Amino acid sequence: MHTATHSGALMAETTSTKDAEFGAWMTARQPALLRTAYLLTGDHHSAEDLVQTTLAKVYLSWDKVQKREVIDGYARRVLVNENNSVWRRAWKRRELVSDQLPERTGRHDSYDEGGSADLWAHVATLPRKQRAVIVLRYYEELSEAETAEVLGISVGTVKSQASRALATLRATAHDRLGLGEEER
Amino acid sequence: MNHDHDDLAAQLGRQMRHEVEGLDRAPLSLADVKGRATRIRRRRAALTGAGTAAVLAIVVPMAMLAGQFTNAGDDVGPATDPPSVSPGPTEPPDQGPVVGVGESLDTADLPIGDVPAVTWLENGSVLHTADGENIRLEGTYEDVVRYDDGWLGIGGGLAVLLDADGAETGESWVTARNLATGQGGDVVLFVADGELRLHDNVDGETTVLRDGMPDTAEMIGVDDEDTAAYNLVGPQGEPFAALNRDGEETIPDPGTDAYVLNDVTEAGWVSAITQLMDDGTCSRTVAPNGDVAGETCELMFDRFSPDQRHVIAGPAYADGYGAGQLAVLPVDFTDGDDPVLELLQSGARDATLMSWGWEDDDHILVVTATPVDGSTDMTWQLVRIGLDGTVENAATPVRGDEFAFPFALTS
Repeated sequence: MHTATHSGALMAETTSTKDAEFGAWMTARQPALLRTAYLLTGDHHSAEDLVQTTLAKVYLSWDKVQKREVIDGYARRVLVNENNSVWRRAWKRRELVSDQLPERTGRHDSYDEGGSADLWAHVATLPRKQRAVIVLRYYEELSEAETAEVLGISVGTVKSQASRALATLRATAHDRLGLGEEER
Repeated sequence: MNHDHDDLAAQLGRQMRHEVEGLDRAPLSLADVKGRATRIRRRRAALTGAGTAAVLAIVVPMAMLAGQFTNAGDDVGPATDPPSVSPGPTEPPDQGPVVGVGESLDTADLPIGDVPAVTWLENGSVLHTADGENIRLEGTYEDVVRYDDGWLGIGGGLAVLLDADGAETGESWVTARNLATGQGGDVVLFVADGELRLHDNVDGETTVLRDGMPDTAEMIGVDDEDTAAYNLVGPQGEPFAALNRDGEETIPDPGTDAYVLNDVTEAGWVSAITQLMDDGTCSRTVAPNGDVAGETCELMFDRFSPDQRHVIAGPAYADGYGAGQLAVLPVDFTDGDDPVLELLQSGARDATLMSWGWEDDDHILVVTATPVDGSTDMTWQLVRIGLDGTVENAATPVRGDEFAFPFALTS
């Protein structure tokens, strides 16, 4: 009984400390995670749900992550992979097919601000993995190696996915938006 | 990266920062997060020990689902008999490479065996039929199936009607993710300009089962009674199964359970995901009489063998590049049972399992991609694996990048 009471008190104290530490970190990081989640999912409801699951998984792992300085990277990794997995777990076979993007010839483009806004709308049409690469590389401004680490793929795949995504967006801009003229 | 890509990347970065400008909310409380954490912890516990009760909660809906295909008590032939689990021959073959259960697949220096006994696509543009014909197609496709005297190909979001020589006939429709066949290839289920169509190759008749089909729909199969099975996607992106017989669509369970169909056979065997969790899935095989035959949360049941005695299974949690695990299981497999065949990727330089299907009752065909040393390229192979563990190439290996996909098995 004594042991149980003593253990219970210790556990409560530990939980309280954990909640305080995690709560402080969560308060500071939640807006940034929500912004990245919005860019990954494209809608606020899904973004909020994604962040909630991500924070919950970080909370569950809080005691295992010894170095607090790596927690931001860990959370980012959970966020991105959770977003991928929600989609991938049921649709894996189809993604293998849809990843084969059509080849496009190189073009020189010019985009105005309105075109950029429309261009962003077409980011949503990218395969989810490519969209993650785009967000991590050009919004989070991670290096290719850091992006590869977050996504658990090779640097070569990051390069090829980013290149294919940009080629698709460029082609979309031409085909659907009529932006820019081909230079010869 | 060239100058064009640099410019576009910079504009994308600016645009994305603009999109989230002012998004400084922190809507979640610690209580919200801890509540979600508690649910995740419970699900993990259910997976590792106490999962039986959670799974049992959906026995009735699954039985009802199977009942949609064939009435309970119907004579459905040998497939409804309790299958006898055959772990395959215990004696290894005298010659040739063999992969043991739970081992990594070594694809180096495999001998080249017979050509596949099923129809497959090479680079999306050459159709190698089960009859031994090699047809160069006009266009590139992700899947091609028999359609009357010609072919129906899908690619680039279109379903294209081809003649017997692979030339376009001029008829094409906006389609969905894929197509499916049933009754030995006699019927084809596909979406054409929003219509869900069931085409009978025997009499040439096409039945429109419904309209308004989204292009996100996934065709699964057709049973002997012309019940079409497919998956749809809800407003939040959640997939759910649907059945359609004579134009009447049924959603197996409109409640909280999420069903995703993975296979439906002519005789009415069903493999389906029964639970989607944060870190995995549980799936189930259901016999034509509605009885649950097998269930697993360690793997994900996929396609049944032609004799419906075995089922191929991929990883329960599918993420990353390809799959690192693939198994052939008896249809009544439950976690803890011995698989007939199990391949595991043990290292990053091992073959990744990209797609798979049945060649016959005793062999599967697996498309593998193995990293080439000193390069980002892959060696792509179409590998035949026997249930006895024998391994050989079914086509000449091809070198290509990570997304080359030079081999595709057809529906």
